[in-house]
Amino acid sequence: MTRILALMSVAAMVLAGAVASAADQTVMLAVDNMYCDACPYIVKQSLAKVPGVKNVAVSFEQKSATVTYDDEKTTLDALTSATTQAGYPSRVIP
Amino acid sequence: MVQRGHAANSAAGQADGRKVELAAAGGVLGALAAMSCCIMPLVFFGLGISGAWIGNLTSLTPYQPIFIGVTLAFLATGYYLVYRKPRAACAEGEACTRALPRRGVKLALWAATALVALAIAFPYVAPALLGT
Repeated sequence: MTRILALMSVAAMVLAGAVASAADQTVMLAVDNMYCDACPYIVKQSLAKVPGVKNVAVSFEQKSATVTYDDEKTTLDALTSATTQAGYPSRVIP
Repeated sequence: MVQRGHAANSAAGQADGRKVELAAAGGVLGALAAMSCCIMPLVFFGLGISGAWIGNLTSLTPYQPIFIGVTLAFLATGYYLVYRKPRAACAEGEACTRALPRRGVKLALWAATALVALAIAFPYVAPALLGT
């Protein structure tokens, strides 16, 4: 009985873990130095290249990038670093 | 009298030759500066060159009109010295011994012109080219 309970609880934990970590997060980044109309293209491409990023929308008017990503595969630091390395420093808007 | 005229001509020619070199150099540097903020980051990105230092280039974008203006001034001076002034000075029919600018210098003027034209046109053609 206890062994079955133990197995069931382990299975429940594994399932819970699997479901919980497959989470898509959406975050908005404030991006610097996007003064020219062509610059959003670089920002968008640099973010799209990060593994785990599912969708990127860059706004030239608002100087921001909205990114949907799998938080299992990448981190906010990786996102801001990707744009910064391309020449456009960014930070997360809280 | 003719001797003095020749000497004066070639001295002036030398001085102008040096001015053209300066104008061409200024034009090339200015054109590169005008490209540094928008075209170069795109080139770097395409080549896989990355680094936080590129952010220093993009932050120069507000100054781009100044770079373009300075470049155009250098180039205008260069072209004037190469094409316009010699024609005017030699018009009297006396023997012209002024030194012609070397081909490399003229090439630099034209290359700088092409680059600054690219820098000026870039904001207009890029969205169409990049598909944004």
